[in-house]
Amino acid sequence: MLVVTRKKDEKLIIGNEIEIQVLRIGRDNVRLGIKAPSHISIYRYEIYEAIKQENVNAVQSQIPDKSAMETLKGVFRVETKEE
Amino acid sequence: MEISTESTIQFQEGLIGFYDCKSFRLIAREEIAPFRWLQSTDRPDIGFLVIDPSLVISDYKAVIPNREWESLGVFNPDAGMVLVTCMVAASSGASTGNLQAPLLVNFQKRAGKQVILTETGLTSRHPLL
Repeated sequence: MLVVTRKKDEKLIIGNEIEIQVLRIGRDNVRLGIKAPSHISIYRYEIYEAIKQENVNAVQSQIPDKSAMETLKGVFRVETKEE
Repeated sequence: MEISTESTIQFQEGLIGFYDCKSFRLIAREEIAPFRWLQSTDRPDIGFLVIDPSLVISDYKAVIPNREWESLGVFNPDAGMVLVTCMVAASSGASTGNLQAPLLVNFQKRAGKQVILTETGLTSRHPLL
């Protein structure tokens, strides 16, 4: 891991397009400003990790067959709406 | 359905936590409707049951920021497609959809990305019923 010390208002640049600026330094937290192209997603790490885990939880190894879906038929009340 | 029964969609960044899964087939079949099946073509063991979230919350699209669509080249959100992954439980009431992290698809370009909505109050386990 690269470790750098920055003062208030100082910046980092990552690649050619991503800028991170220290906006405020508090006792237990820092406030950062991030400038990045719109296709770059920026999330708080713990939210990202939670969604990652939910994706893992939602993985299925094969398409449900007809009998598996029969169990699910009661699941969804608007199941015929789209057809 | 409004779309062909099978289309290949590229997720340039993969799904969150699945960077190596960049190409998926979206499969619609009568026996799983209204769900559809999103099958990774990179990893045959990875698939998701997905659904159009507007069947759960009719104006769901309104919560998606325009900038997320624009990054996919969709400038009229009405033209974008949204899917959410589902966890389907045997007891019907327990089935949920991940309304916090939808898959946005530019269907014309067959390009998609998963985003996280952080200011909507929607959760990753929203009841489907």
